[in-house]
Amino acid sequence: MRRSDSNSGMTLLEVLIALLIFVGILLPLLRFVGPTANSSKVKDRKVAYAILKGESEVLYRNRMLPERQSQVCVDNTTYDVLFDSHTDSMMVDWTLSVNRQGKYLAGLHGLLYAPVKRNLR
Amino acid sequence: MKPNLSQNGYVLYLSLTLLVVILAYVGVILSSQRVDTIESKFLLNKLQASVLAYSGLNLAEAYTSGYEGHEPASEIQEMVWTHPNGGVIELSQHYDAGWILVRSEAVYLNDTSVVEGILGKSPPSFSWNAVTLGSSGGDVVVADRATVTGDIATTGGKVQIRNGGVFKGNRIVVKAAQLDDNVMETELSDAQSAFRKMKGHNDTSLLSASDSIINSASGPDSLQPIVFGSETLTSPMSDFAGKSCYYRTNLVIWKSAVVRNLRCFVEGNVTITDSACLEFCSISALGSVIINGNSRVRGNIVCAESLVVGGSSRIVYPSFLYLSALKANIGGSQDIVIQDNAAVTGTIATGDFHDNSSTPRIVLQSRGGVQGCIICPGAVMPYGQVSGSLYAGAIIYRQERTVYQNWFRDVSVAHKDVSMMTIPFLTKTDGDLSYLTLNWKSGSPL
Repeated sequence: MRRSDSNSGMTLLEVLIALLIFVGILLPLLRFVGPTANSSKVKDRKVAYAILKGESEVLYRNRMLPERQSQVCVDNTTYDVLFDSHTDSMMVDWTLSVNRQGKYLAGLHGLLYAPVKRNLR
Repeated sequence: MKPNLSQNGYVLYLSLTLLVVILAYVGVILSSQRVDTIESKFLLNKLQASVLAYSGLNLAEAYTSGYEGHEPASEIQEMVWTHPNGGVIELSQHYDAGWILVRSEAVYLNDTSVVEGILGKSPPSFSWNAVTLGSSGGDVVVADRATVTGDIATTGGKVQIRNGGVFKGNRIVVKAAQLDDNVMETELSDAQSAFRKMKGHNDTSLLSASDSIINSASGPDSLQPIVFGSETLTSPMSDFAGKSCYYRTNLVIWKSAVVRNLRCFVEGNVTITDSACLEFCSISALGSVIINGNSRVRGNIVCAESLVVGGSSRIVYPSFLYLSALKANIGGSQDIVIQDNAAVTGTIATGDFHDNSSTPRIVLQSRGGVQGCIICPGAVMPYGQVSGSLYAGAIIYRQERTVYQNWFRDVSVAHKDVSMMTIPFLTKTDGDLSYLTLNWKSGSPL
């Protein structure tokens, strides 16, 4: 199909090629740019949820405090698990947070009654 | 030269279509991302709410365990602990009763988690964990802060919701449980009158404990009442052939005795000792009745003070245990107690004591079981399992000090076509948090 000098518009073939490029290449790339780049945040948050849930379950089930700092590696991504607590007699006021590359992702706060193992920390 | 209008229009159309496709695609992606974001936040908030609930329990447990050396009952009036991320834990104490109400509440985006219960002794005359089935047509009360999820059956009464109570089910009107307790009450009253008339009279026959009623001078067909002077029935095997007997003192049925067709009225107490076997007997006592472990009883037992079915004893079908209100307000507990491992097949009922006392009338201990029907205008404490129907003025469940007690959850009453109703009290586990589930599976035999 020849383009006429007087016809500056695209030919049908060009439009179809552009459509294929958009659908096949550009649209998938849109997931990783701009406002749609939240997927990693969501994933991080879900990982943080899983970590916090597991740690808090162990904490309440065993009445044992976790390490002050530990690392968890999920899909080649390292997450820092930080634990902070203040003990008042037998009550432990604790905070658990999950960071990735120094950036805060999520945290939990609660109280623990630990009459037996209160001196672990 | 004129441009090719038809080709340009077609290209324009395709370009617009391409634009719409791109916008739609981006919209879908953004929407799914937003849902994922909200979901991930929701999970975290829900977890924080759960942790707050655990924290509330831990805080209350600490105080009931003498936190910092304080006596909880005398130290705590009310304590409110506010969570840094929102949410509140409340502890409040009832004066001199030694119990603590704990309520943990966390409110987050799209998620509210409320956990509440009582630690320590349950308060007297307070809002029990009560699901009231109105057998007398009265209103059903969803007590303070109680949560009832499911249907409540009444016999015409309304469902009242008190402070903070939550009722998520439907009100179902059912036919009242029919128990002609007047028959039982009248029978005991007549027996009482008969005993009064007998006193000072010598025209009654006194038989030795070893005599069989069949061989007595009165004979089985005599209309004359027969009174046993002895307080013990020791014959290893006695068939009374349905003869009415009056015992003016206590009656003790000894070990391994086998008694059949006995119909007796006892002015005192009745003790059925280990391994005794009563078949088709009817015992009405103005005092208490104690059925010791490993006994086997088939028949009716009516008493006016208290009735204890000891562990491992069996009350077999068809049997009827009844606690009369004849001596109401005599002081002390007037209960029917089904002890651990005891099994009752039949009906257990109490008269209407016409008081508002929170004292339970029927206590079914753990591992005790009833298959049949329980009718109690007062309160029932069903720690064991009931297979059948339960009609009660109130259902009470309380545990020992320092044990967390939650409110009833997932309560449902279905009156459908099934003839048996199963009411197991289960302790389910939601994470580590135990809670009580009242699970009424099927319909009423009415």
